[in-house]
Amino acid sequence: MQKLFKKLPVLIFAILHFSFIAAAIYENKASIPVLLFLFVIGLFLAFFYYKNHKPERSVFRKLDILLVLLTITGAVLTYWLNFEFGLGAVLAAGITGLFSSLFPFLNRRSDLLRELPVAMYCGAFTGMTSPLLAKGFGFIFCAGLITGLILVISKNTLHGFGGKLGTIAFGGVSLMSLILFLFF
Amino acid sequence: MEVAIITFSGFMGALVTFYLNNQLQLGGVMASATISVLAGGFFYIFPNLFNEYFTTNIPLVIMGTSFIGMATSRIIRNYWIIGISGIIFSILFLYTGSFFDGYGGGLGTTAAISLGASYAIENLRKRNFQLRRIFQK
Repeated sequence: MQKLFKKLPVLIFAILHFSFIAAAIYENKASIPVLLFLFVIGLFLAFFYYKNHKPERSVFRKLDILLVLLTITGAVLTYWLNFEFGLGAVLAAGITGLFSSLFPFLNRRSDLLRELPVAMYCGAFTGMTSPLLAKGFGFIFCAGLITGLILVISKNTLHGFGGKLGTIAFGGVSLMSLILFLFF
Repeated sequence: MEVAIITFSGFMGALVTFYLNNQLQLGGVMASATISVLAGGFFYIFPNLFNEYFTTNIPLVIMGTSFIGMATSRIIRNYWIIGISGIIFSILFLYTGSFFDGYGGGLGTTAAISLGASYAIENLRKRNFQLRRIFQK
């Protein structure tokens, strides 16, 4: 059980990445050059996971609850900025990210304050979800919660790689959409 | 022409963010958010400067590739990996369909796939180099 829990974050990332490529392959089945490109990228990605995945168990702390709450805040704030003011998803997430990146300046020695921007920016990606898909703040709140939970369990996975936070947010939004699709 | 401009935007977005993040020590979040605010803000203030296609897609590509630039130089040691990832991202952005359109995190997922593929290319290149050295001996 512990072994499975250790491998869970890598498994989540791999499933998300390969389903994304599979969907792109399915949509481009008429175009041979694009198909070939996607297959090659898929092979390189498989090699990347084979060579570089090191399952590492995250150590959970009580303060992780704060990270989850901030992820939800980042998601709701970004969605609100985009939905209410019509700023567009890019500008709304950028403002949320820039605001959150100022937290560490409150106390440069605090390790906790250094972790907060990551959680809030991760939530901001969830908040970039189109209003046509989300249909309200309830969806964004729940997707933000799932995103926060994935963020906490995958703290030590793919650390320092670009795109990790976006993948986590994609996981939160996809899972929430799946839950809605299956049960409502 | 459209493909070239989108690809160039992606290439620059990734490199500039990586520079701000690692050379100027701004940190990943501040570097990426700054680039995103600049790109998004510019097209928000001047929506009619370029045609609709560029006004919609350039900010998305720049923000997406800024996630690649959030990588730390402890793990990604060469700028060329970041540049290649930016180009791969742009091609994926142009040709991945509308299946996950509107899903938050789609750009970040594309960024992670692009960086993972480039990192694998670097691994293979290094391994090929080592094999050649062994055979030369």
